[in-house]
Amino acid sequence: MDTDLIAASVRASSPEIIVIIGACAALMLSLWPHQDQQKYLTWLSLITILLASAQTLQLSPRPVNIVETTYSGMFVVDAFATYFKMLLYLGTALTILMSGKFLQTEEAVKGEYYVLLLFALAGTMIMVSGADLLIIYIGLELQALSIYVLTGFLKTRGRSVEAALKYVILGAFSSGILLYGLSLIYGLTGSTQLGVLNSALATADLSEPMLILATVFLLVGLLFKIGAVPFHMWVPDIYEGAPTPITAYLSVASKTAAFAVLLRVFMGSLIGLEPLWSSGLAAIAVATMALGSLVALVQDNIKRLLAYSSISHVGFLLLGIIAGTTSGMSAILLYLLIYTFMTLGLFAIVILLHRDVRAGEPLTLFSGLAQSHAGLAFMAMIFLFSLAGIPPTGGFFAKFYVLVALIDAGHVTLAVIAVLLSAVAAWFYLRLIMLIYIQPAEPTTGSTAAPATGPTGHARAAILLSAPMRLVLLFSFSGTVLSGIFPAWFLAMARQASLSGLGN
Amino acid sequence: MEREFFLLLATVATGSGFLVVVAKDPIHSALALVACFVQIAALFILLGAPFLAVIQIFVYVGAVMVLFLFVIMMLNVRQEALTRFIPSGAIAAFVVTLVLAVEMGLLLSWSSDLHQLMAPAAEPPSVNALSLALFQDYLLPFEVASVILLVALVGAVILARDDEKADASPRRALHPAQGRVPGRVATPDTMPDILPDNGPDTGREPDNGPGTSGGMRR
Repeated sequence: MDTDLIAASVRASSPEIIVIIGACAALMLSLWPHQDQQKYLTWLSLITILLASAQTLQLSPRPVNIVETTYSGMFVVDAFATYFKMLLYLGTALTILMSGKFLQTEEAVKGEYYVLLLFALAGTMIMVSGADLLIIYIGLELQALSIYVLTGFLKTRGRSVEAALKYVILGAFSSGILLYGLSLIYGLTGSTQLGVLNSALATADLSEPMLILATVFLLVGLLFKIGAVPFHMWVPDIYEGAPTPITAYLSVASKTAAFAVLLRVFMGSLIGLEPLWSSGLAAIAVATMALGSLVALVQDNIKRLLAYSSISHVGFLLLGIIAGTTSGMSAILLYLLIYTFMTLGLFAIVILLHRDVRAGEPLTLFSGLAQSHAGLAFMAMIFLFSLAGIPPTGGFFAKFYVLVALIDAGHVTLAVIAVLLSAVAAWFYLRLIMLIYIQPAEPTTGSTAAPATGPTGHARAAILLSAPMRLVLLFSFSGTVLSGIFPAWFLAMARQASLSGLGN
Repeated sequence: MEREFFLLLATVATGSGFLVVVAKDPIHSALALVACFVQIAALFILLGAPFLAVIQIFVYVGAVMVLFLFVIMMLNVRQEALTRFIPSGAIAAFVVTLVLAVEMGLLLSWSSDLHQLMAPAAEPPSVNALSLALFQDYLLPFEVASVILLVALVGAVILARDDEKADASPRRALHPAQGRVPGRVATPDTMPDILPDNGPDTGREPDNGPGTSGGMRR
């Protein structure tokens, strides 16, 4: 590798380098004892993300179908990666903004929190840009390792530690499965580079048992990471136990990056093996939607409810992969964008209502919100409408384009099942809206709330909207509403990213 | 001859790997892991990669495992690990695992590619070639792996560090039982710096409401 190649590689990966340097700077800043340390760290993290996004935009390929590959074919910069990176910046920045208040309530203000979030961002960026199974795996581990620690960040809370332990064990287990599939693929084709795989597998004999085994393991490993149904059991426990901003990050950014990998690997390199995986994936998608929607009906904890809701959204997203067309892919890309807005918005409201980890997050937190905070209640209603997929909001168009792609590809039965199941899912979102608008704000939480913890005993009257929180709500609310009003503009963006191909 | 050696080494490696999981005493597990690593080093020699074999012995057997044994003896986790925590549903899990294993074995044995996989290396690659591969073709994974190590270091410090602030908080004063469960840790007072007060093994809080019992919940 001569100097020119190295320079080109460094230039292509400069956003990642910026984020890692920012994380190291934050690590050093966190050693500096100062009253306003948290404020400085928030600013530093946000500036890092801003710089990285500016650099990503500057590197974005023009015209869009140019694909730049560096690091001996391991790292790719294309419109697909650029789109996903912008999505990840958005998710991480909003997570950082909503973390400040939560950490103060929990007395867990530590600089390392921001450091680890930035490292996790770097990991997801590498996953999204990876053009080699090896580097995708390493990016995944970087992201996962940071999130394991963040999940157990509230060390004095049993639930947080329990969730972290479960996540480490199941994460290691699923990584083992993924690696096994990866090694089989390497053994069969002699390469881990996605481009080489594509051509090597195009002529492969599909009845080869080893190939089936490799595909199944690779698929299962990735499905574990996104929490699709037979491999979903970790999701509710970990979402419930993790600090709420980390739950938001997990359900948005982690999932987005894993979907990017799933799309790049299965719709790019392993497209030749489609007969092997498409029917299995269809069954998994339907099971995911069904279980996510049905089990969510009986939840009484808001974070567990959102966990099952995210499972059912994953099922819907998988349908876009089954459609298998470019329009299916752009539907997924659009869905992930709108999903980021509405989920982060709702999580911000959950954080605002949050009092104490030990009190948990019962659904009754929401009851009577409309009487005390009409504005917040309205926003929550819009986010919930959007999650349910009710027309004037972005969530409707997200689902709508997936369904259109599915019907265009000839899977009418699947589309009908999806519509029916999302009607079921709408019920539990509507139940929350009912709680907000109809239920009076009586202190029904007595059984689960902490026994009289003093001034915060019933803090409904004192929800303080700090400036970062306002910003999060503003961003997510306007994103949810605008994507409902101008869906075509957002779709055009997603379509442009998906038309560029997958860097092979 | 190579085939026979491979079978021998692979059998011992798998057997000792199995022993790592089933051994009751963590010291036995660690020693079985050492045996497993030595077999894998021998497999590397068989594949014509002597340098990797040496590294395997140096790093894993020499450094990592010694540290493992050190930690096990130091923290005295042997007593705790003797209690099994595999639930009664283990039989069902075992059956499912067995079915999957048979399925996998069948798929592998039906494969025609299986016997072509083990092509012997033409000539043992030099350390020079290894370093070129590492710093040219695999530069990016190499660098990202170093970032992973940094994250692991930071994470370990965060989780293990004693938090004075958390100790002084009024909530802890209200719930003295949440910090330390007596009897779980053998000698908590002799090594306060190593044992975090609220490490993962101290159980959960006594009063965190319904629905927080262990295991996977729905």
